[in-house]
Amino acid sequence: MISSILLKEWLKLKYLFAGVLVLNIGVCLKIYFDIRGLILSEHPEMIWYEAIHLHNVFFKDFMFFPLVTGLVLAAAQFVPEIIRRRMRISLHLPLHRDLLILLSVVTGLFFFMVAVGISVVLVYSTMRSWFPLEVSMTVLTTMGPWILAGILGYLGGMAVLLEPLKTRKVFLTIVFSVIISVMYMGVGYGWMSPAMPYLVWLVPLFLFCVFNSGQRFQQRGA
Amino acid sequence: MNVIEVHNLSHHYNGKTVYQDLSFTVPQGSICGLLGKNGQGKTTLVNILMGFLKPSGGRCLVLGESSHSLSPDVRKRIGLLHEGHQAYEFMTIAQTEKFYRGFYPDWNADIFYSLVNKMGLPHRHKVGSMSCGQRSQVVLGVIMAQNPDLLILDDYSMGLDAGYRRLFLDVLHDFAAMEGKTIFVTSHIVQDLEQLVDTIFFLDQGRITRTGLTEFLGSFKKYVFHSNSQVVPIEDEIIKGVERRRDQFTVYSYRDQDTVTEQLSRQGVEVRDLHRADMTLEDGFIGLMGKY
Amino acid sequence: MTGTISRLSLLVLAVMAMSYILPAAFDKVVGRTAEEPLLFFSPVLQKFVYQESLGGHRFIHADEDGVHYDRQEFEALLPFLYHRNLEIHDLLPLVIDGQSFDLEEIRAERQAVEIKPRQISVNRQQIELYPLFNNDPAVPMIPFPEDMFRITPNGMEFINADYNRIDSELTRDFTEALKEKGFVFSATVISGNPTNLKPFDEGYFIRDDSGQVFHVKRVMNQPEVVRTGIDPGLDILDMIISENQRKEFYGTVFTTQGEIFLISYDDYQLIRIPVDNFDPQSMDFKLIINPLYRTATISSEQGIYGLAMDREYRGFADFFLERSDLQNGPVSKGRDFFLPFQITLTSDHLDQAKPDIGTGGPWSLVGVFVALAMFTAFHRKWRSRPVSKMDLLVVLLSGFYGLLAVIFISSEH
Repeated sequence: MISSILLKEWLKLKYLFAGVLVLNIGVCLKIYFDIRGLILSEHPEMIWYEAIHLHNVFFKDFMFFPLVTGLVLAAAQFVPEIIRRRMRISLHLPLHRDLLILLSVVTGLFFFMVAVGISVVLVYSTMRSWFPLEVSMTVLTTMGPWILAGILGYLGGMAVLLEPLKTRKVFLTIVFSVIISVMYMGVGYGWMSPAMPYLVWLVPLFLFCVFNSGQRFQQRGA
Repeated sequence: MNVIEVHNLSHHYNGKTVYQDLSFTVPQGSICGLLGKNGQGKTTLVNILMGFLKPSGGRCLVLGESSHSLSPDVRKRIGLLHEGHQAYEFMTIAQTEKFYRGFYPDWNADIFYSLVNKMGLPHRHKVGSMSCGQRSQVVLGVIMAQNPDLLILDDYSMGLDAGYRRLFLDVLHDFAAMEGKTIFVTSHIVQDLEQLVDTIFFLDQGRITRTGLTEFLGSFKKYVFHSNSQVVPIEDEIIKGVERRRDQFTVYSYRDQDTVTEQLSRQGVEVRDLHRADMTLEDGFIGLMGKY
Repeated sequence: MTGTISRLSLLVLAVMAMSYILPAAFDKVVGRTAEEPLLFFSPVLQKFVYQESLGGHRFIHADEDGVHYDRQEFEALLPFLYHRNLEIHDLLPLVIDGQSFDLEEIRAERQAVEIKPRQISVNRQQIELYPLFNNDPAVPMIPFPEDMFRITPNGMEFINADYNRIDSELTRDFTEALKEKGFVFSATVISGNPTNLKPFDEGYFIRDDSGQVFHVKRVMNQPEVVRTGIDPGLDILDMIISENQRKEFYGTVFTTQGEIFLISYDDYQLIRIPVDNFDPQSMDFKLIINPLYRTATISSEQGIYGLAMDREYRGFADFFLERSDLQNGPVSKGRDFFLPFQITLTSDHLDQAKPDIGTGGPWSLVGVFVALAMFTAFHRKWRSRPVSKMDLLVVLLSGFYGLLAVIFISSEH
């Protein structure tokens, strides 16, 4: 049963997942060559100073890529389902609706974490090869909110796609956009870290919104 | 035992009442056709039965459970054919089989492949690149391999040519012949239903009428006559439907020939050679419901 | 069950988004952010004078007795601060109390220190790596060193930026020099001024694990370490080092208890600024020095406290300027009415995110009840079903935010 759902999600995801993976690796390579160029062409101690004391984030090109990744994966999984309301097929399967949605979410988030995880490792390695450990460690705290934005974008995208009513779609889009925009507040390494313990609670709230949209998708007819 | 039980069902859409106080039952083993003109809420009713629409009021029980919140165990016993033969187009034939197999303990892959193999397509062929007819075979294969107790088919004939329609009917016939299987079907090709169903539901202006097929074809009658008169028959208690082609008139009625003739002359219609003609289900449907 | 929870989640998110964006948007449109008042001690009047913003570049100038002045009069009351005016109008030398000051004297005796909470190390995100500038009398400007240091439990480590590797020679030299003076690794406070935009370099003041404060400099690439003798029992929160040509003090020390000290040249004696009720983590500290007086000001949410001191930092006059209440206008009442609370992530005191919920005043309660009334009226008129308890609770807890949310996210019919 679970393997059937995984098969279905994988078939929908595979091409776009490959696409976002290439995109993520591409931006990581750009970051690598940009930093290498800076270090080679300028005094490395000045680059360090910019990073450490002026809080210049040298990998900020990556900022919106987790969000894009999340949105693309959500679209890859759920656009084929809502075209001609094809998800009715899955909704009729002998499986609880929320479990069905949860399995889709887990699959999508797994591929999201693979794409974004590879990027984090690449950016970390890039930073580690030119900067002291303390600076490269901040990759994790600085990227945290961006990755969270990607997860929320993924879940929010799903909730909006499944919601049948247009006005409510718009309202959801506004609410989710405002909340996701918070993840991009502030500048510098780990700016958001003190808020992260609170912000992660948005994930279950967003997940429940997907369940809500799923229920409405099923019960609001053709 | 009733497979479907509908009590005082009402539904509103955008502030408009689609129906009010609709009640009917479908007993186990019956093969039912739902007939109604476009816009009478046929799709809405099927959607409610299939569990994809929560009715505004009343109860709709399918296999004893509320249709909009069926348990997985009950869903397992229901085969659904969605309008337009919905299938996951990104899957191949083999992947489709593999996908469904995981959900149904009684899954019969032989039935699936025996239906699908008739098309002679390789199993790695994508559903998305099939014709509508080919896709309908895949969907039929899926439903039959599930071995459901209840089949709900929403306009199975849509987009199918005569050959595929016939193929579909053949399979449905075999299914209907099995012990205790129930079918609830809608089709816009009324003629096909005549070969399949034993019970008919007419849905018209928010009311539902149930009748046996033979009973209906026996009691509802088609009369043909010629007339040059300016006066055209009017529908009333006795005359249920009127059709006209040049000077040839067709009227429908539950009453016998004498009563109809008498009623027509009472209306001032000049009647020549009135006789009872053979009536198909489609004729009867038009006669009862009208053309538009 | 999940149906109820999932709709509630949606309502909560909608209320959160609204309480975050709407008050901020309101303030942006209305322009509610007022500038800080400025408080000075006038050597002419021997009184405190202040400038308060009315918004839109309009100001009030007044003294502690409430006497108002125009801008020119105000500036004339602060001749050391506005000495450029004296220069332009050829009013130099300045004579106050029989003492005469020429331009050179005024310039040489002026200094201002301003420390905001967001500069305190606990209130900002700091990567613990610092450049230690090399003092070489032959080089006029301060070049950036090719390395940065960190203090570990084992020593003072220098990492070379060219190779991104530890410079073992420098590391050994400095670690040994520190150990020689009795430094107990690791460090609890590391304070310096990591910029080369300063007249000269005084290196770092580092508080070790035992509370001792050391002054560490790099002279001709060799360590120069002084054990300052600053009381190790002092609970130092942070030290803000600021090199100034006057060379009166190296910088300012804040303790966790809110004491303020200056570290004087060259004996490292601590000069106490005699102010009470100071919280370095939420209040601004300013010290204005002129040829006659030193004025310390501390601004908090409630107002600004000023203490005038003589050249020996003995206070002789003080004044508290209460912050004029912006919260009572009709605009503020309207804001409270419609927007009962606000979620914020930024703080004036912190250079990092600080999630917080700010609530409105009594008008917010009125707003909540009006929203409730509107909700029930709306329900009577448009919906046949009875009011949902959950919706009622959401409106009760969040006023108009909740009202909007339950209207847009109406329950299933």
